[in-house]
Order: sequence, then C-alpha cells, then structure tokens
Amino acid sequence: MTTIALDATALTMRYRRGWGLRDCTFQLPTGRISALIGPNGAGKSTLMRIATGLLRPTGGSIEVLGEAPGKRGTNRKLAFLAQDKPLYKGFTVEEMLKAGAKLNPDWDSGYARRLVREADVPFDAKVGTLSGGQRTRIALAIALGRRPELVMLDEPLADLDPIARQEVMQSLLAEVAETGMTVLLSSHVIADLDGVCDHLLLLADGRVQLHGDVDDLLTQHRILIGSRELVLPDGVVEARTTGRQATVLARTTDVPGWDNTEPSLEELALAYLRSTKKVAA
Amino acid sequence: MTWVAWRQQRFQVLLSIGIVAVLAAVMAFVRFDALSLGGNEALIDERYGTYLNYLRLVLIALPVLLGMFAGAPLFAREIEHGTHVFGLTQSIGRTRWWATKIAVAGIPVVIAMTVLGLVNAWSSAPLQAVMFGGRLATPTFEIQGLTLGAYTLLTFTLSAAIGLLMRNTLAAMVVTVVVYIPLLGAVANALRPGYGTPITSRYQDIPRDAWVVESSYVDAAGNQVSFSPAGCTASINDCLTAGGVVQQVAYQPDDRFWSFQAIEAGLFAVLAVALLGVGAWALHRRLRLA
Repeated sequence: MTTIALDATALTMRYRRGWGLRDCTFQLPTGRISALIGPNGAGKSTLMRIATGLLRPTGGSIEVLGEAPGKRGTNRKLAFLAQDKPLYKGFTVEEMLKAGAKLNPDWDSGYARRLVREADVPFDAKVGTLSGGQRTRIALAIALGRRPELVMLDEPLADLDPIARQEVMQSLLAEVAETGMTVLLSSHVIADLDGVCDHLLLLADGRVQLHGDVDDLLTQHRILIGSRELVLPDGVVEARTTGRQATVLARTTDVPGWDNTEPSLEELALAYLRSTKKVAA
Repeated sequence: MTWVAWRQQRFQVLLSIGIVAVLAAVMAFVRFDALSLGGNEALIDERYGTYLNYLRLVLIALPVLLGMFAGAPLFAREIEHGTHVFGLTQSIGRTRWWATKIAVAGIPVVIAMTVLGLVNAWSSAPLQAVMFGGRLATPTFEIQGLTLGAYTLLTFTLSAAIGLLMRNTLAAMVVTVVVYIPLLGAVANALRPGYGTPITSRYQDIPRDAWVVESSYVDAAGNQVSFSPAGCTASINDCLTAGGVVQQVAYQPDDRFWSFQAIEAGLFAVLAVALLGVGAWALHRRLRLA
C-alpha cells in the first residue's frame, strides 16, 4: 500500500486565459487530513479536477494513490465532492443512492444509508427540495458510499450556515476517525480548517507557496513583535509596521530582541497569502 | 449507467412515444375510414384535404422537435447544472457515460419516429390519389417511410453534439433549427432528384404520380429551344404544335419511392454518425470542466 495519496510533479494547467496551475510539485501523505488553502482562483479546484480525471493537465503529471488518472472514470479509491455538490435535482434521495450503487462496483449500500439516516434526511425527499446542509450531507454520503481511501472535498462548507458547517464537519471527522481515510479539504475560510487539518498545501497564483506538516510548519515560523528599528532576521515572509512597532512573520527560530510567538495556522496562511499578493501587485 | 440515464430521460422518452402513439392511432383510423370511401377521390379530398395539410405541418416539424428535445438538453443541461461532474467522477468511463446517455435518450425516439413514418406510408396509401405531385415530391416524401426516423436521428445527434460543444441548451436548439431547415431544403432540391437517373419523355407520356424533376422544350431534332407561351393566342398545345416544339420532361417514377427513401435515410445516417464523431471528440478534447 502506497503512503503517498497525491504525488504531483511539475503539474501545470494552462487555460486559454491564464494559468490554473504552474509547475506544482508536492506529495500528500496518506492517513492525514490535508488542507488545501488559497484565494479564489488559486488553482484549488483545478488541482482536484485533474486528480479525478475531469481535466487533463497541460504539463507535468499527478498520481493518485500510485495511479495516473485515466479515462476509465475516477480512481475507484478516490471520491470527489465538487463545490456545488452536484446531484440530480429531480431524483429522490433513494434514487440518488441507487445511482451511486449503479455507477460504483464497490458501493457500500448499508454504509451510505446509515450516513443518510444520521443526516436525518427522508429517503423519499427530492434532492431539489433539500436545504444546503442536507444536500451536502447526501452528497457526502454518496461520495463515502464508494468506500474511498482518499476523499477530496472542494469548499464543502461554502454556502452553509454555521450550524450546518459544524454538523457536516463533525460527520466527516467521525467517518475519517472510523475508516482512516485520507482527506484533502479545500477552503478559503482558514478558520474552518484550523484544528482539523494536520497537513497543509497552500496555493496562490497556481503555485505551491507552502507545503508540509502543520505542526512542523508552525514550529518553523515565528511572529515577531518589536520596535521597527530592530534588525530583521533571515526568512521574513511578511513585515508590517504600525507606528513605532513592527510585526513580522518569518521562517525562523526564536530571534533575540523580539517578542517571539508561534503563529496559528490562520496567521501563517494569511501571511503567506498576503505576501504573494504583494509580489503579484 | 443505463438505469441512471433512463431515470434522467424517462419523462422526455415517454412523452415522445406518447405523442407518436397518438399520431399513429389517428393514422390507422384514417386508413380504414378512407378505404371505406371506396376510392371516391372527391369524397376523400373533401374529408381528408384539411387533415393532410395539418399532417404535413406536424410531421415536418416533429423530427426536429422530438430530436432536439431529446438531444439538446442531454449534455448541455447537465453541464449547466454541473451534474456532469457527478456522473464523470464515479467509477465509469467518460465514453460509457456519453454512449449510454445517447442510446437511452436517442434510440427510443428514433425507433418511434421510424415506425410512425412506416405507419404513415401505410395509412396514406388510400389518400395518394388526392395528394398533389405523388409520393416523391416535397413534402409528401419527407413525412412517410424511413425519412421521419432518419431526420430525427440527425436532429438528435446534431443537438447533442452542439450541446456538448456550446454547453448551452437553448443555443443547441437554435443551432439545430438553423442547420436543419436549410439542410432539408437543400437535400430535397439539390440531391434527391439525382438519387436515380431520371427518365426522359414527352410531357403527355409521364405516368401517374411521377415526380417531374426537369422540364424543357425541344424541336423535332431534339435540340433545346426556348419557348414562351406569352405570345400565344391559341391554346398552348396548339402553339407548340405549330412551332414544331415538344415539351420534354425528366421524371422519377413512383416505384422508386422506397429506394429513394433508403438512399435519403442512409445519407442522414452517415451525417448522424459524423455528428456522433464530433460529439465524441468534444467529449474527450473539448470538455473542460473547470
């Protein structure tokens, strides 16, 4: 069994109008919950769509659990939940489950039905009448009914209310704990991912900006607060000054003379995202 | 996938078959009623003249309507709703997804329309005497025999392919109508007269129900001459005789009806296969799903 869930080498996707991904090389380990963070248009959806085989990259390659995405549908061990949770609106929940069973030879009907029951959605309800939260739970049940080893969720919490966000996340984490699935979860709301994800892939402008184990990354970075006259250390990601005070995020160990704290995931990610924006601008 | 495609398409498939079944029932009734009139042409014309006018209208429009309603939304609406992402991220290949949808949505309606064309050929037989120009002329040729099914096959594959390329149901429908109507006219006028070598004869000698495809005036030596009936004070025939001019026509006899039907159906089938090829190309090369 491979220990690499996604293995990208110089992965590039060029659209007619600009770049989707540029020369992305990274490896995501199995058994982890990886956060895919980036602003809108950073290439998060493009990356997931290439992994499912929906898109063919214009350059480089990617392997999903050791196999290149082919023409024979999405890798059986990979489940994908697209951002708009596409389900056939005219189908009932029961019919959607049947569709899942018909389209997937490894379908686990009992498991999918249990997830629907836990979501408290009636089986005879039309998909078109479901609330955003219910719809996401059904889409998740169908994605997990394939019994994937890797599940990729593209902005699963966008357009959900806070209660629904929490329920969807709890349900997902419970299944991950039970099955040991590998998860890749994208969001532009970093707060949703903090405390959930233990691996990070940060994209901006189609490039990998930061990538690695979350705890390692946090340990390797410091937020430095001090007088603006102090000398900046090597590895500055972002420096801001307010009045006489400077706030710096840098890839460094403790720097004497500064007030050193370890950043949170959100602080770390935002600093990297802001710094790439400044370079681009 | 077959079940999924059927569940998605069943309303449209059953509705199309229902419409066809009602029309076939009407045609069956017309045949038996017309036969009961014992070949009285005046009576048949009086009772079924209006029916034939409406039938032509309905049957000319039906292939493009049913073909388009089956084909245009088949992929375009999925892409509009994003549900193709669901279908294409399961454990079935892209080609199978496409082919199954084509088969489930297209085959029933094409078969139903082919049957309807055959029923109409059978039903119209007693009415042929009152139909102007015989079975080979437009629009009688287009609404019976194999052509109805062939036209439906074309509009279906055309709108499905355009739907994949343009990803917009309405645009696919518009393109289908815009392409189909001139195509039908061009085939009827430019190609159909040449499906077989026309027979040449004097105007007076053409058999009943023949389809005249060309007409000219010739002198005794067989050379083409120009003749205008405008300056003629007597009957046209007298003027022709006086000038030693004969009206010569080229025609297609009625007994070529079924071979012409087969040729035209084959032509549209070839076009449909080409359109399926375009669709398959769009599926693999153009269908960007970002």
